[in-house]
Amino acid sequence: MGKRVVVTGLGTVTPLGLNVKSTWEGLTEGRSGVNRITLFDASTFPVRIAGEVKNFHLNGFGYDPHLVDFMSRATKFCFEATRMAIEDAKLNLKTINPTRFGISLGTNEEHVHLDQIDEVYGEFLTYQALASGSNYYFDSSKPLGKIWPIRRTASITTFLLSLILNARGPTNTSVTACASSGHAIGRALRSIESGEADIMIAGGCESMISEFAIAGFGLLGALSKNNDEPHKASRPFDGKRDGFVLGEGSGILVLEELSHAQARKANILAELTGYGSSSNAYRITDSTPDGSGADICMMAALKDAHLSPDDIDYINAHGTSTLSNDRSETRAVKKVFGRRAYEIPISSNKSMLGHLIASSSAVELIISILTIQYNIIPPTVNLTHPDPECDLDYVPNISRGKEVHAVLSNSFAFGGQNVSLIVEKFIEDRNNKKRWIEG
Amino acid sequence: MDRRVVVTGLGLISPLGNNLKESWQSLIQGKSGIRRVRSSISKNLPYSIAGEIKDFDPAQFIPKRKSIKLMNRGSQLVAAAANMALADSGINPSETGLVLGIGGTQYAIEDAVTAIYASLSEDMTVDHQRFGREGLQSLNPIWPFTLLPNMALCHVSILYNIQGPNVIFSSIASAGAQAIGEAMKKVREGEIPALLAGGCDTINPICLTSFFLKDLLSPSSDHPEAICRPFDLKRDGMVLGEGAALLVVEDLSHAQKRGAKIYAEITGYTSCVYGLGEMPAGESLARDTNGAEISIRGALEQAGIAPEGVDYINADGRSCEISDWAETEAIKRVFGDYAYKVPISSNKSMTGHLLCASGAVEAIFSIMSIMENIIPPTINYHHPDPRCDLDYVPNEAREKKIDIVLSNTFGPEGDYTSLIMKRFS
Repeated sequence: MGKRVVVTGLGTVTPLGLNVKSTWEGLTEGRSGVNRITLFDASTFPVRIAGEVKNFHLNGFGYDPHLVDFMSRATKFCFEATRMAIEDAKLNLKTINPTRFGISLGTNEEHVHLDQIDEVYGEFLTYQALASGSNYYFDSSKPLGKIWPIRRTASITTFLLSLILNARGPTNTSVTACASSGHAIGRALRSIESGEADIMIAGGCESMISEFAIAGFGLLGALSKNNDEPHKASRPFDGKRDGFVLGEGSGILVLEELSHAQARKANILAELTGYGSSSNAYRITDSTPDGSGADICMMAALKDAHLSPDDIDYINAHGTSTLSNDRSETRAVKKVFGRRAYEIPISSNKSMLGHLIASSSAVELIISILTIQYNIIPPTVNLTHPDPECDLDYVPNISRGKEVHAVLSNSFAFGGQNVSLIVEKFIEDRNNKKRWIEG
Repeated sequence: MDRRVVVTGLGLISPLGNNLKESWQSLIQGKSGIRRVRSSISKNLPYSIAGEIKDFDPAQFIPKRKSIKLMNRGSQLVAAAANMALADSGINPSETGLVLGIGGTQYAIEDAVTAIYASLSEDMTVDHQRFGREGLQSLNPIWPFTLLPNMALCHVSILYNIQGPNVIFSSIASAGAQAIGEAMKKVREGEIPALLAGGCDTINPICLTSFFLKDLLSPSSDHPEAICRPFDLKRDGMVLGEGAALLVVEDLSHAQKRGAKIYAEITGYTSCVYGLGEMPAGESLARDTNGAEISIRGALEQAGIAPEGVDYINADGRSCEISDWAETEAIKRVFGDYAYKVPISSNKSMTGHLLCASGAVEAIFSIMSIMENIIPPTINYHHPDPRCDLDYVPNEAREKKIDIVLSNTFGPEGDYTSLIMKRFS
């Protein structure tokens, strides 16, 4: 049997707040972090709303200013969330064995903004212009253009973090769009279970609110156009939903091998017990109508955690607020949980945060852990016109008190890459846990 | 007892040939695949030499024309390699999952150029309001698919109905090797009996231009096939290339039960990160040496073999001054006197650096070396570098009994991955 993996530290940067506490308060109060886009002038775009992180500053670690210049917005979110998670875990980096300390992140490429175009692609665009016979000229003398190819890659955050934290253990970057950080956390879980590492920094970061992403997802018709009421735009499982809302942020967890955490008397927040992954193999843009694919993934996570569907107290849904996902996910939950599907509370954090793409899985796992800690389930807001096809208990609009021992958290990527994670209340004696499950 | 992990299927498309057989033949004949790239990519670029795949016809592998239209070149190449690997192994695809190493979508900004031009104001800056009003209209509605990094997984899992675990790892260069290593771990830990694993990268205008602007590429020449010279004194930078390689990585007992052909066993894998690309020369030499040393030692340790057990090293050898010194030095540190006896060669001398595909392509070539007992040469090696004084199998392939191969893939970002493949017995 593999080693046990516990969570000892959490850090987040989200549209609802710059730390775990304010994010949690916002969620349990049912507040929305979605608003008009301020990161660029979106006034003429069909979609003008997003879940932006507000008033963000990078603190701590005493960074080299050159390094800060080099970082993308998403990388900065990640550094901030990591700092908080390490503080929360009371980790002393100086006493950690660097080769037993690793990093596993789910990220995305840096999204270039229009006003960076000449810095990044100036020379290239000039070549292209010459090719088309016109005489456009871009200023490409800025040095940024030269470092950009490296700065833009998805793996750069992982590399920078390993450098700053002196982490020399297993290091990897997962890029499966909306499921990225879920896969990263799953990989980190395996690294500790198999004895490769004692501590892993796991999670993800995303900042995709750029002209191209808003334009791109907009062209696919995937984004909500409810520009007049941003707070009401993201409405998972509601009959009047019209697409998802793009968000940004970062979520980082400190995962630790149980005996390592106990030896340093760490505060154990929860135990990470299950990871499942699958593919829909169906269509590029749509979820499967019958929920197949997603069910394989949830079952794999349950099997990995040695739990039965009866043991799950709360499902933190993917719930993107697109017709295709919400119905597919609902059917998949029914497939896996049978009649119990109607009894388990299910809610979507995306109703308030928007869709944090590569970091959504990590942030939602953190929320799941807080659910266990506080025994409060955050609601699905804007659920006012029930969709008859979505007839489960989505904890509409108001948070709910309930004793929660085990949570299943889903993330299903655009394109059909699925990941499910399971966290449980930490109980030292596994046999005791068994009895509680059987009871 | 841990499960043993074997390779039961190989699929490859490279600048040396559109299948494994062709590629391997060119490789052992010392033929280079580096050339001037097709004009649709290189038009008006400052640099246009790369290892390009010739005459690739996606319709040969992908039945639906509509699917081909939705796929970028990377996804098409992965589909082709998957097709060949699955056919080779005979495994039922629905029993497997997919683990890929992919660099990035490279944003396909060239497809958005018209939209950008349509949004320019008089002072040549991009006007946001114009972009929202007019620029957007000229974007192809399927362009957004290039924004998402997981599209290759999506297309290939749909084509072959692969419903198992689906993961992509990313880095600049070692992700292909990492994917194979991670797949090995998943199979060894019993998560799934078999996985399709490997990497892919393509050349595109942005990628060529940005590497050129970073002064990482070997200067252009009238003899493109001769400019990639790993370990040669006159080497002056890398050459990019494109390719896709997938391996069916399978649990031994599962493979034996279905009577599969077994190519080789994967026994060691290490991946580590050591510092970051942008560094002064002196520091980057020390860093590259340390990183390579850690990676090689780790893989040997995991495979449980002494350095003397290695019969051939499939080197990273990317033809950059410092990285080739560093790799040579790291090999000397780990192998001691034996470093002078073990043959070392760089496939990149003929393929160019296939970025995230390189680790997977070279893993396949390493396995072929075991199967055929032939070591492919390092071509364009004419001027020995006093600091690179090992046996690099210059210019001519060599026959030798090979049981164990170490394959190195090191990235310019400071990522180091080593794999060990062993003759199956």
